[in-house]
Order: sequence, then structure tokens, then C-alpha cells
Amino acid sequence: MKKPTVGVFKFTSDGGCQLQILNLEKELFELLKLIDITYFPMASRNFGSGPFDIGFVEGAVTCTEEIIKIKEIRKKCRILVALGSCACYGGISSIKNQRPQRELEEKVYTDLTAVHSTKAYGIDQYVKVDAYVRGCPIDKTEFVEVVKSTLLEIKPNLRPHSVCVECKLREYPCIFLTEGKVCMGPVTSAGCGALCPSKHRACEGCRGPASDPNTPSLARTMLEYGLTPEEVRLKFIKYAGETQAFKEGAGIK
Amino acid sequence: MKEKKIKVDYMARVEGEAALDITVSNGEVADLKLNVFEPARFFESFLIGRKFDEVPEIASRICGICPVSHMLTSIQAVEDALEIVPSGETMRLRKLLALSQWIQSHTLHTYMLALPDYFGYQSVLNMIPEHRELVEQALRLKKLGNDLTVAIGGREVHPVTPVVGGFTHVPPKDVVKDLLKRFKEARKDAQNMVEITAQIELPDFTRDFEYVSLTSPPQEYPVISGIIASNKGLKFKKDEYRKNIHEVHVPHSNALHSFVKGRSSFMVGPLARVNLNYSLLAGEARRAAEKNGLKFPSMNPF
Repeated sequence: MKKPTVGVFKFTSDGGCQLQILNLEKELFELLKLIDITYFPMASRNFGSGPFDIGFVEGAVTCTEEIIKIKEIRKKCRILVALGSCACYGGISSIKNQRPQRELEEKVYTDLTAVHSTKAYGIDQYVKVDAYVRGCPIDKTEFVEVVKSTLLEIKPNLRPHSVCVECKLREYPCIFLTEGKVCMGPVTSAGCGALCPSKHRACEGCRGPASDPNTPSLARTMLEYGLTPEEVRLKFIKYAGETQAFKEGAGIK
Repeated sequence: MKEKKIKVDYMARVEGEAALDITVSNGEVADLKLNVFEPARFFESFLIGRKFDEVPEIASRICGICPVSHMLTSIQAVEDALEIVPSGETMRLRKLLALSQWIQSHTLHTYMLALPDYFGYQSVLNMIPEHRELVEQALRLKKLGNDLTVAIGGREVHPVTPVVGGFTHVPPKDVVKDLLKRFKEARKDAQNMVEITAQIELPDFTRDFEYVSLTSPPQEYPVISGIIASNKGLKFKKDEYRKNIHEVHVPHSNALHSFVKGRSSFMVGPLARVNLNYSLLAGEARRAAEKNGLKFPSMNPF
């Protein structure tokens, strides 16, 4: 049987999710027996032109060139996977969407005619996406899960519930209730193994909204715990500020 | 006059997206443009108005390959602004965390990004059939660096435990003991890495240039503290950075270009650091260099 071909594409991002693929130090050899990575500029100068059985896209779409590029890539990929929170929701880059573009540009560049940037969105703003691997960065095991299930032609087991569920299952003490550390765990998608709470740090929502989250309720609780409305807004407008659920938490209609 | 243009539309095996335009005239490079077309993300702008304790978390996302550097740098900047003096334990752990990233990142660079060119392969993945042992050694070293980052920082890419003031979690003793054992065993791999790289035939591109890095005091190999200096007489404290280095926006690139004020461009990174601080390297590292005929300072960027 011919091995399925895989492409790894980069958009506006920091390369961390692609590095997570190379960080699969233990599994890499086994994985390469099953798939043929034919496009992965960060690792290889062999630029295969496709088509691809699976396309992994890292990064947000933030300029017109990228809008054209993502549409071309969609046509070449049988299954298109958004890799990481930038590709899923716009990620950290989407914080800028709250400000006028001109104001952003003036702070960094002198010759504004050379700068062209659009609002930062996840790739599904422009194309159909078949699977979402969330997180900033992604969890390596979820990447393996998506590859495995694609090979088996089954639906990947990506968790829809909240970080709180994983936190409780692992019996970590709740840092929100016991210490008043304002945590995004109740509304954030699981899959990280409640990493931050396990290290005594509040969840910052890097994996975006869990299924059916009650963000206005969490926002009210945050106010009760002493946060100002502006501080609540900052909590929701970070990794996934363009999602409806987090916009509602931030008080944006 | 014979003129030739070389255009590389998309550079492979680097982090970020860039193109390279070279104009060669009579066998000499007449013009060279590195076009970083990776779209701008505007960190400088959107960080304004964020809370102080979010800065390290957000700035870490500047780069997924060296997040520890961005995180520790912004933590120290915030601490300086708030006049917070971290404990000795915190500083030692931070140094160890920074070193863990160097191990991961330098292994990635040497074996996975650079070596395929010298060995004539398109990628490290293609090297597996003929150089399996070497690739396994690379993955072992890389994993060791990553495991230390995880032990201290909680995660290899974008650690979660370092915060303004210290750490939210420190590694338990048994984890540290286990890592210490593995690090002692890994010396063989590291020695081997020096031998392999020393044997590679490098293009001789020796020329005069300015290199800038951290240096002592304190009297130790600089990792996360020290003053900034160069081989051409620069010497300044970190809060005088803007007085000595200026950034320029060039139209063909989204990455700003940095220059020493009144002079020209400069080199940073591991070679600059070793060149300025060779005598402060650990004895074993210096002996490995001497044994393999490596001399510093080296003015060959290869």
C-alpha cells in the first residue's frame, strides 16, 4: 500500500507547533514508517507539490497572500487539519484585531506603504477544516492521534470537554476555589492534561473554548473574585478572542 | 561585466519564512537581500495595555523554537521595572532552564537544520536509512534538553512555571537526580557531536566583522546575565541598549534590521558568545575544542 502523503504548512505563527512534530523524539521513526512527509520546509528542502492526504496548517491567516495560499492548499489536501490555536482561532496574533490596523503599524514600522496586514483569523474563516488540534502549542500526543485515526479512517478522539474535567479526574486541588487564582479552566477545551493547574498556575485559555461553555457565567464569577471588567476582557481576548464564546465572556456582542 | 542573479523564493530549514536575493557581479557578491516575508504580528503594539504578568507569557510566543529566551528576558525586564530582586535559587533554576533550551535548540540546528546540507541530504528524515545511529544520537540529545525544560518549565514549547518573581513549581528531587544521571551519560554523545562537526569541511569565509554578546561580570560564562560587549569596543548595560543599537525598517523585509550606532551590522548568537567568552567556558568544553582543533575567536561564520 502506498503511504499517505503529508504536508506541513506555515502561516503567521512562531513555529512551535511544527517543532512539536520534531519533538516526537520517541515516535518519529515509527511515524515515518507509516506516512510520507513530502512538504515540510522547516525540516526539508524537498518541496513536494502535492496532492496531500493530510495537510497540517500552522498559523493564522493575516494578509491577502495568505488568504490566496490557504485556498490553494485546501484544494490539494484531502484532509485539512488546523494545527494549534493560531490556525484554529487566530491565536495570539488575533489580540491585534481589537485595535485599528494603522495604529498597530505605526508603533513598529516607519514606511507604512511596505506593510500590508489584515485582521488575524483562524483558517476556517476562509476554508473548510476537517479537524482542529488545539493549544499553544499543540499537545504532541494529539498530533499522533490525528495521524493514527486518519490512517484508520476513523474520527480522532479529541476531547470536547473542559480543562476542569481533566483537572478533577487527575485529582488536582482547584486553585480557583482554594486560592482564588482566576482560572480559564471551566470554559477551555481539554487535552493538555490540565498542565497549568498541575503546576500551580491558572489556565489561560490557550486551547480555546470547550464545547458549550458558559463564558458569561465565568466572567461574572471573575468579577466576584475582584477582577475589573477590563481584566476579565484581557482573559478572554488572548488566544481565541475571535470565537463567539470568548467574545461573550469578554462582554463583546 | 558578467552579472548573475540567484533567487531563493522560500528558505528551507529555518524557523520563519524568508527569501534570499543575491546579485553576483564578476564573481563577487554585489547585492544581497534577505526578505523576511513572514507576516508581521505587531507584538510591540498589542502588548500595550496588557497586564505586567502576561508579558512573559505572550512574548514567549514570538518564537516557538527559543521561547525560554523571550520568556526569561521579559520576566527580567518586568522585574527590573518593578525593582524585584529574585532569589539565588530562582536565578540558578532560570539559568538551567535557559541552558536546557540551548541543548535542544543547538542540537536541532546542528543535526536537523544544518547537517543535511553538509552531508548532501534534503532533510534529516532522509538521513535515517544511511545514518541511523547519528540521527538517534541527535534525537537523544534533543530529548535530554527538552526533558530538562519540561522538568523545570512544565512544557518544552512555551513553559508555564516561570513567572515574574520566580517559579510556580520547582522540580522534585527524584526527577532532578534522574536527569543528572542522564546528563553524565550524555557527555559521550556531546563529545561525539563536537568530533563530527569538527570533521566537516567548511567553506572558509573568514573576514572582519563585529560580534556582540553578553559577557562577564559576573565571572562566569554568560547565560542570562552580564553586560553587553563586542570585539570592537562596545561595552554597555542592558538598559543602555537603545543608546547603542538602533533598529531600522527596510522596505524589503518585515523583520527590522539592527545596527551598532555609528557603525554597521553585527553578529549575535553562539559564535559571538564563544568568541567573547572562550576563557570562561567549562574546562571540559575547552579541552574538547582543543582536542578537535577548534580555535576561538573564529571569524568564519560557518
